[in-house]
Amino acid sequence: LKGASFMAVKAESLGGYLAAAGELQKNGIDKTDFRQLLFTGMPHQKVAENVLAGKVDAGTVRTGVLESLIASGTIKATDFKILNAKSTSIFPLMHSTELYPEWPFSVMPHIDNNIANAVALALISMSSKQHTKYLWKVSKNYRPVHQLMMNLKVPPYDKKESIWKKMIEYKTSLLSLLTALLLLLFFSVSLYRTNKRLVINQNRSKNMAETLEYIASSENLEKTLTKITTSIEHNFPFIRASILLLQRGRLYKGAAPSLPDDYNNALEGLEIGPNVGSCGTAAYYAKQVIVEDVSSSPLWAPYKNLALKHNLQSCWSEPIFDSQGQVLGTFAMYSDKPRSPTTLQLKDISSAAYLAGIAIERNLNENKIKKLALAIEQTAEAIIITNEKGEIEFINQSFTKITGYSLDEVLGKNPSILSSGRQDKEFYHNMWRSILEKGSWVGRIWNKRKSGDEFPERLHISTVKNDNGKIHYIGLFSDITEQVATEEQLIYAQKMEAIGTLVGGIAHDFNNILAGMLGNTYLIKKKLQDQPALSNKVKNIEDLGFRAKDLISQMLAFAHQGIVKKSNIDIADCLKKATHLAKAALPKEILFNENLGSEELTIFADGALLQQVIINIINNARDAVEGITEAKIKISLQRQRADSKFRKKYKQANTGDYAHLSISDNGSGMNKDIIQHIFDPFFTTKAINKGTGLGLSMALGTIQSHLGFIDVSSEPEQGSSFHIYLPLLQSSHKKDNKKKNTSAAFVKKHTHILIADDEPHILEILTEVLQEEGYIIHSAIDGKDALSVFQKNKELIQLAILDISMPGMAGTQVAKEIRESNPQFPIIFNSGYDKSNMPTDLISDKHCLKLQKPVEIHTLKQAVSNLLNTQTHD
Amino acid sequence: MYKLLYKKLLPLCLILLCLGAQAAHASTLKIGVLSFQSKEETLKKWTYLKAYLTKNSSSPAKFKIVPMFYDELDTAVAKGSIDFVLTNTAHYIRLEQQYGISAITSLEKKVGNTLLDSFGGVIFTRSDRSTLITFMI
Repeated sequence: LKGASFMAVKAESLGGYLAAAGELQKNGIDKTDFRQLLFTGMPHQKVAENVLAGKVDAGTVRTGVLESLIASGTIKATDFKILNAKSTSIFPLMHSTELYPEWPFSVMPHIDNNIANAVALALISMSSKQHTKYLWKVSKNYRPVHQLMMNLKVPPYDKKESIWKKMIEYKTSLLSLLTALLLLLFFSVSLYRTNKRLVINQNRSKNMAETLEYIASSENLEKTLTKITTSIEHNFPFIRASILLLQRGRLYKGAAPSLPDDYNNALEGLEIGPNVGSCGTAAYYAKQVIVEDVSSSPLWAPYKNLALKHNLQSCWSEPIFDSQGQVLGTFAMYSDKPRSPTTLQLKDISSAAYLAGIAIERNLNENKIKKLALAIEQTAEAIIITNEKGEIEFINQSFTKITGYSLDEVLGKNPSILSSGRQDKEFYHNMWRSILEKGSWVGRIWNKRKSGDEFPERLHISTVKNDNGKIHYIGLFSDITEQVATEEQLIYAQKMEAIGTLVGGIAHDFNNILAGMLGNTYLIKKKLQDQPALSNKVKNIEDLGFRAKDLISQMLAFAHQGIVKKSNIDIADCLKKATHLAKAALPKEILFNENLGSEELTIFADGALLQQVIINIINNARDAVEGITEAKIKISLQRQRADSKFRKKYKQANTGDYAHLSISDNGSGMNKDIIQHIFDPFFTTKAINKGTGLGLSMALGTIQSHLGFIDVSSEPEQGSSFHIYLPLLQSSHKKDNKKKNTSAAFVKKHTHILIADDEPHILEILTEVLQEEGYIIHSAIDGKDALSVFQKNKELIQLAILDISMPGMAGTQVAKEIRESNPQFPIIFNSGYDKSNMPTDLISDKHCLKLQKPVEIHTLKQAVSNLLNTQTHD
Repeated sequence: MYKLLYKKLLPLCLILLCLGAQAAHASTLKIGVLSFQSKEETLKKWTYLKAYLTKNSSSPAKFKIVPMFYDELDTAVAKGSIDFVLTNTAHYIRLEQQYGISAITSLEKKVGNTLLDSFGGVIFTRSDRSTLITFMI
């Protein structure tokens, strides 16, 4: 490069000139060796432009400039070559010179040590969260820069030269020479002092830097406190330092690496007080306590032997405060001779106490934060925090557990990603008004999980302001799916109970009315046998009466109030009967597909009720496919294992297998709102005269009373599928209870029968019907009457037909009295509707039957005949 | 895992802890910052420091960034009218030597994925200048 033209940025610039100049100087090239030395001034880019334009032979810039020019496409890597290229580990940029520390953050001499330390500590604690590009570390060693500038004799190290110049100026006079010599001496001393000061500062600041690093990393409080004591001890050879921590009025060891263990142990847990050595007293009064001579101080009287034994002659203690002025502990220096502290020592004591305060407070805060963090993470409630723009800044584990979203997925997003759309604008408007006006909102809201499932949550939103006045929103919520389900079940159960009570209440009277009507109709029909036109009309009345009867029994069934006659039945058999009936009413163009399988699936059920359920569902399907081309209804039956998935869906399911009956159609389908209500009584989508709204409620009630489950899946325009699950009987439990063939009614003429009913119409009809059959009837208008009639004709009466609920004495009570004398006396109970069950001994009694009003005449006749037969055969 | 979590939580917990605890601000500490661009640029670049220190240093004081050109910064240091100095390394050496300011921390710049705490010079020539110059004479 000698004789070359060289370009740099600025004479004072370290990266832009001095570093290169130093490197060249080391290689024997002085700036005077250049043919030409030019400075472009900022920015560095100008040098690169001139070198690449060929205006100068070579140039220098700060490290990194070329890389960024390449990155921006201004120049190409192949355009230039690096002279004296060096490689330094962990420094990725091209460089030709030694490396020097980056910009320092420095403190003016008038600033108090404690403030400087506080700032330094804050800076080195900065994380890339606070600033992505510029971070800070403890001060690097700037001495090599001093050295470089001395070597290059640039300001501030350019003065020596001027002294020589001055000397030469004054060389003619002895005085001048002397002056010059003195000046030389002065500057030499000054240079030496500068160097020494730099070295001392270097050591002290190295110690300080290390201490600060310990505090900043805050990994281990004891280590940090030990570091504080050892750096102080390092400054003063005859000093031993200790830090004690104050907890609930007692002192505990923080760090005292140079004090003997038995001394430390003796002080452990010492209660502070107005006369408790230097530290106990300093902590008690929250004031510095200087004891110059332990042996004579009253404060030390109880402890001096112990202290003197270890040659601890004086003790200067300073309380350690937190930022709120609370005493956290003490910092003390012990000396091996009775003496008072020097100014420097006092300064260091206060400085050490200050640093220890920061370290202890940070440690306490950190522990507090750790506990808080743990609590926030582990609470079962989901927590979400957003900034004032509503962007999510934090979520806890429970949030992820409930919603399925991880932190990465929601960070920076708006919580509206959870919105289910179930709440309208007004809802959110009111919510926000409450948040903004009152600072909080509590309520129930439906949200959506990542999986798309919707769930109810109880949400509490509140606003908080941080110390910058910035608003954050904190949301706390818990998934209340189960609670809501329980509530819904409860409401449903209450509704059912209310309806059940209502239905039960009217059923009794209604059935009695129907029994009267149907009985009379029967009698009229019989009398009109030779007048077909009239008898048909009467038949119609009878049919309507039976439809009314069915309606009542369906209402009773859905309300779980019906009389259920369960027996072991083959469900396929039951299905066939039901579909046979239903098909008769189906239009021919509907394709009906049955797949009942070949396996015999036996359940314990009321076949008649079950058939009604199936018919109801098929009827719904028929209405759903009305007007659909290629309408289809499909019925299938199969075995369903109660696996864990099944039992998860149906919590009450037991482990045995189930019969799975499904009835599907390709009809109009239903939306969610309708599905929610289809099992509600009197809910119907059909035209007013087309459905009662009871069909599916009855189905639900029936299936539930069979310990089964009914479910529906449907989409609008996609059709619906009803699924019924009924518990299968295990083969060992199958009882052979095939009904005995009902023999044709065998009427024993002139048999005396007692009939008791408080309804005169029914009494009259029953009497008339049975008299026609040839029986001799004794009628009674209530229970007591029945008993007295029976007593009077005890020898004659062979059977009693009793209404269950009668004023004065119930039918069951009458039966008991009659049975006193004849335990096998045949009795038929004829009940309108009675909620109280029959005594169990009567139900299983083969000499006893229960009939449901309104009774079909045929059924009644059959029952009477059967019971009398049994009697004969016994 | 825990550590990561903890790092994420820390600032939030600080927010929670700091709720309502508004520190009483005693005084304002001035940071003189060397400006070699426009002062607005300099102010913008270092504002984060002011906010950060005011909030995070254990000193109750507020901080203020004062952008200054070389001569202004020299005068301010000489007069003691500022409290902290942020300037380039060479300038710092002069001010340390003349006025006894002392470095408490050093900058770390993020370049790519590494943090660089030092710098130097790069000496270069056009790649076709073969007649020149092997650097070591």
